[in-house]
Amino acid sequence: MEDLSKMSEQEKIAFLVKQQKKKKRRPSPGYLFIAPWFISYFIFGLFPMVLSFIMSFTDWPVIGKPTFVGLENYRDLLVDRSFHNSLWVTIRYAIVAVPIGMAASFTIALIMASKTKGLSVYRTIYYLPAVVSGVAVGIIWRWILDPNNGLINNLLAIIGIKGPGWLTDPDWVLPSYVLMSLWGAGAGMLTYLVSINEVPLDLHEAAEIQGAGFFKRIFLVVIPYVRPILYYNLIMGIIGAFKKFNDAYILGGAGNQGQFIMLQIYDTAFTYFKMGYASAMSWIFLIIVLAITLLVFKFTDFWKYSQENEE
Amino acid sequence: MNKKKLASFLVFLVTAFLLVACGGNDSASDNKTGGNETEKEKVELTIATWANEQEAKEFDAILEEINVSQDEYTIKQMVIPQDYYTKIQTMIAGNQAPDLIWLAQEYIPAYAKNGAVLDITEKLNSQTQINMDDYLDGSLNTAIYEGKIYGLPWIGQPYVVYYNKTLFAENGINEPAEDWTWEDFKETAKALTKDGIYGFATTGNPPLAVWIWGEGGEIVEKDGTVKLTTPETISGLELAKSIILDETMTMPYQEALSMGVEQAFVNGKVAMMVGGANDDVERKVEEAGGQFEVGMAIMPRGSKQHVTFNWTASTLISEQTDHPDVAFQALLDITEKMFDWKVPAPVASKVEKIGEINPYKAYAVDIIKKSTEISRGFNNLPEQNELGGNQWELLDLPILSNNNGKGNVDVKELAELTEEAFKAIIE
Repeated sequence: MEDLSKMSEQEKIAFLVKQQKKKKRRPSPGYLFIAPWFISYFIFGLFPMVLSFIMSFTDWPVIGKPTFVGLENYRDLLVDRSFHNSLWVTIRYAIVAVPIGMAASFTIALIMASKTKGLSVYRTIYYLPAVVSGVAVGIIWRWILDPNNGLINNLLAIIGIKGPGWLTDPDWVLPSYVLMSLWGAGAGMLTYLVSINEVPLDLHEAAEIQGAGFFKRIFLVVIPYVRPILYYNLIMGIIGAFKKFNDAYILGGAGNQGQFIMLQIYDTAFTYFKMGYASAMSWIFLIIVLAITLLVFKFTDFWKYSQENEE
Repeated sequence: MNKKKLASFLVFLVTAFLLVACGGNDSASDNKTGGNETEKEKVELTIATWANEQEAKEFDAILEEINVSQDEYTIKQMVIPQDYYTKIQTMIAGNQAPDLIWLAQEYIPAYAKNGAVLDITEKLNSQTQINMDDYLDGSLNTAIYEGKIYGLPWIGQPYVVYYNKTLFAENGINEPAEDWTWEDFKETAKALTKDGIYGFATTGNPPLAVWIWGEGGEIVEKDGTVKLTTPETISGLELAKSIILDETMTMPYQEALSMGVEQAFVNGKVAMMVGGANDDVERKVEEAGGQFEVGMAIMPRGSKQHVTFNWTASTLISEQTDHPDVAFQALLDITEKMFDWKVPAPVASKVEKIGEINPYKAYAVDIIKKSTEISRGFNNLPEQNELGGNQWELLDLPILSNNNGKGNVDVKELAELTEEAFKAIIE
């Protein structure tokens, strides 16, 4: 133990600085607590990603030995019509389903933010579908969309309309999936609801004094205020739409219109014994999603809420 | 804890995890260290199956019987009721494959080509436990790839026509004869279509191949030559179209799809349907109140050939097994026992026994026997799954659904499109 009283001022300062540095060097025990996450990310996330990148240069039938084929898989993807079709199906779905889903979640949140009796019950009811597993949702929708005995077509029949073959007519497959995507609108509603409830009351009052009606207040007060949440939901919505798998796996869709890219990758790897090719598909797909996400990031300023922005 | 120690600790954890995850399976390692197969200790084997709850129980009983009857090995069942092939393939990739595997006919060439299963031709030649000459060609052929046998089929289920015997009698229609043709079938189906009842319904049974083979055509040859656009094949497709899309005899596809063909038959809404000879149709009709008597007929004859589809599955030995000889003995023992199980055995000497094994089928033993004689499987190729998927989307579905309700089904055009896709896959 050093005796500070015997040290000169210079030595004391040097000693204390050294002690401070030592303290700083000691890593926080917090690292240990977050280690399980990092370890599982490394093993189940990063490691398979690196492996899949390596695999994408091979012809690997899963049940046999991989053979190095260089860029052949990527070259083949350029002319693979079924890959292009599934990409196009997924992109079209994302373009339509993401904004409609956001609008639905936002509208429900607006209703839930009003001061209605029994609101907590409604909130629970709207959120409930979000906790049902994707496979169960697929089975429920199979019944709802059944062309002959399904809920929707039976309701349409009551008013004299012959409903379409929702999943058996290629023209109706994508609209059916967009309709199904609204099932999860309750989950998005939660984040909007928190944000809407945080809009300062004085902003509403000021807008009201200046003669703004309900819709003007939504567009000029609420929406600008919740922009960061809209931004978050947009990014998550795009990624979610591109990752669509569960209900498509259960329901399919005529004319390859239900062949979303994730399903195509799964089929290619496990049904067609082409893991290398499926890996190349995944990487091309990753690049596309990354490009779209970066494009959205580019407009980050637009999504930020600040007093200056509004002025 | 300093940085170095923390880093070492994390590296240790990750390494330990990877070692545990990538290690071989316990029983295999034990067996390896346990030494050779001549030791008295029983070798532990595993067989992967897709059995449902009831089948799994019955199969467990079979395995238990085998386990107590000899002291060379113990075999246990690994039931994978969902996503069977995904799991099997993942296990093979992870070097954790079960010793024996059930495979449906369309998977066998791919597994054989990639060396995932053992060639057992020589082993079969030097055994006497199972009489290979007793096997029905239509079944055994599905376990052969490039002239070598890779597995032993344990089921050979020919497709037959189930019909509502009571409805036939009520309408004064003669029951199907053994030599009836597709023209007779059409006539019968038309006569039965009235009062909300359809003569026939299909959502894919029989496969289009049955009509094609009957007219002398072929989808793809064993050597990979695609024959979808030959005049015989087109003739078979035209025949299929003329039956499937004629609403004066066949229930519209959408309706059949939502009702389920078998359910529609059980409910008396459809007079004839095609199904596997061992399908539970009679029992279901009985459980639904037994409103009518079920009859079974052989598949109608085509203009060139009398043929039906044969659904087969085999047991194969994984290339990763540590005990190929013991696994082969287990394969023989299991297959032998399975011939007396409830499923139609793919061997000539046992076909007649189906009446004893499954009393619901006792009335139709003769028909089942004749059907097995004319049955065959697809000419499966290693790319069979991809070919099948493409055929369903490009050929089967447009015909079945009348071009998704839009009409104008041109089978020649569809066949050309499918042939083009097939060639791209095979090449």
